[in-house]
Amino acid sequence: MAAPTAKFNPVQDARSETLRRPIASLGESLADQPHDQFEFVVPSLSPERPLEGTEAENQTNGIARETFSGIGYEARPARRILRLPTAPVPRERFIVLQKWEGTVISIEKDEFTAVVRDLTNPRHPEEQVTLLLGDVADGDRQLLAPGAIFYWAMGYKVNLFGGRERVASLRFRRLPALTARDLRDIRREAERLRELFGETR
Amino acid sequence: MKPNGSASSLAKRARHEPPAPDEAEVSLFGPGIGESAVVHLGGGDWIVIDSCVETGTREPVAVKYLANLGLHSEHSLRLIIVSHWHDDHIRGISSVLQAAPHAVIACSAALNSDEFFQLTAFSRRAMTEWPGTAEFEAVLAILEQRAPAGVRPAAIGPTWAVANQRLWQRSATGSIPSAEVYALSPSAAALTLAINGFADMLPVAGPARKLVALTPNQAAVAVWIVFGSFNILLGSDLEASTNPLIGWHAIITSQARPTGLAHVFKVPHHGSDDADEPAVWTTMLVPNPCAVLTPFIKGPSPLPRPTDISRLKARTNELYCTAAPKGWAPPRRDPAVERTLRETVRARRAISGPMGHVRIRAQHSAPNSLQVDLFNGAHRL
Ligand SMILES: [Zn+2]
Repeated sequence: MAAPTAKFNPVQDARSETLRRPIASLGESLADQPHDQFEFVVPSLSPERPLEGTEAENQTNGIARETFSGIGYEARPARRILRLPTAPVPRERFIVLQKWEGTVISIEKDEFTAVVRDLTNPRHPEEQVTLLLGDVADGDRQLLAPGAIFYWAMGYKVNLFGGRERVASLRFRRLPALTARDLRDIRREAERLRELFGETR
Repeated sequence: MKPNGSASSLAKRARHEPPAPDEAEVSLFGPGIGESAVVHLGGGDWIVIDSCVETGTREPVAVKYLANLGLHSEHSLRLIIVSHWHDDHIRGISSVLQAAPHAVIACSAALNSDEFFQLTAFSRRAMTEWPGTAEFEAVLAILEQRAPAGVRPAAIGPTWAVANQRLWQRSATGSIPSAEVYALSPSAAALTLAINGFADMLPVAGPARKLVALTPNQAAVAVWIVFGSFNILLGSDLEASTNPLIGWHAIITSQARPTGLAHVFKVPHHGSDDADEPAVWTTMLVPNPCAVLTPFIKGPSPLPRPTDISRLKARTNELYCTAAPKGWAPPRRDPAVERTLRETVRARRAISGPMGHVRIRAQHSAPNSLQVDLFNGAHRL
């Protein structure tokens, strides 16, 4: 089976090895793909789970903290790599051509304005875009506020028969609940900074 | 006072020529989002106020500009001021500090608070790349590394700036006059308010949010620079409050601030009306001063607005901006992406572009005759 990489030429992403080729789906036969294309993870339907892996791993990976719920995979740091069986169950897949991280600036009647940073090509300038409120998923509506962070991706959805449909995905982020330990760590680090740099007035 | 023309070949040739030792320079950079000022105080002594980065390379413009003049930041930079911590003023400041091992760094004293240290400690977990607090954390990490063994890093910085504090000075030598740099803000009242504001931003579980700073800042450091008889007022993003104890009002009424009138004015907060204090023009500036500003191309109504420009032009006819506040055409992408964008996006524009640059040079003996050079799309309004 030919690797799907031949079918299109994704935008080069200087930070992300993974995105120089389409993200293969769980449904493909991976036996004849190069070893390094096994980089995806256990599918998860819970996009709110906190990140795993070190910050450095996440940054090298370039696709950390990204989820496309409902599409059938979750891009995550490559710490938990699952070697998939050679003949997995076929599934729909999603080819990412472009992704951004956005911050909502303001909300108007039926649209919202956001500033987006290009994650596919970080050399591109930031852009301001106006998007339709109607494009926000029902479950994300209550997250829409100035400052809210979202991921925005465009690409192809490929069905079981290889049919392609251009799609866009807009997902708002939720902060994972900080544990008591997280808060303790933050306070301890803040206390350390105050002792090193603080000046009593 | 005549501007020296825009991108003429003459101006281009002179672009990388450093100022004379007895000549002051104020260079204001702004690529659409972001602001950095690089100031020569004579005698090869330079200071940097705020930082922004080149689109694409993310290199801080201040270091690059000094290198283009043939200068080493290491030997030239004496003082770095972080006027406030918003993204558009702080990006790349840790790289500026890294390049200048002998420079003192000064920050608004509002950042010297448990609340801001907590925000800084949280920045590693912030669910977005490159928040302003992460840049500040990088600054502290450099200082921590620089502190000699057994010395508390606070001994080398940051200097926590408050109103009417002198941050740097040099006495006169030969033909080079003395120079001084003062913080004019934040006032004591502004510090309290700012720290309460940070408390409200401390991390809680729930929707991921990033601070969207579209308004001016009450705890920003406005800077007053004296070079012989030539004075410079850099307004940061300091707000004009109705509260007489904070913002520009507190500066105007202060009995402790340095006296004199400034010839060059960096207009606060990208020209917005909520940072505009008419009394600044009548009590702190010479008539018809040289006023410079950077745009802020973000939000439904980018700054400066047409009304801001008319208001400012009524006060001086020497008004310059580093870039037009209308943005640029976005980059072209994969044809399938372009088609999806056309179908789903109502409006779209790039908000940073070429690094606009307004350069003002002055002889201390003739502070009223300035030479203004405009580069990379900077223009007279
Ligand atoms: Zn600003």
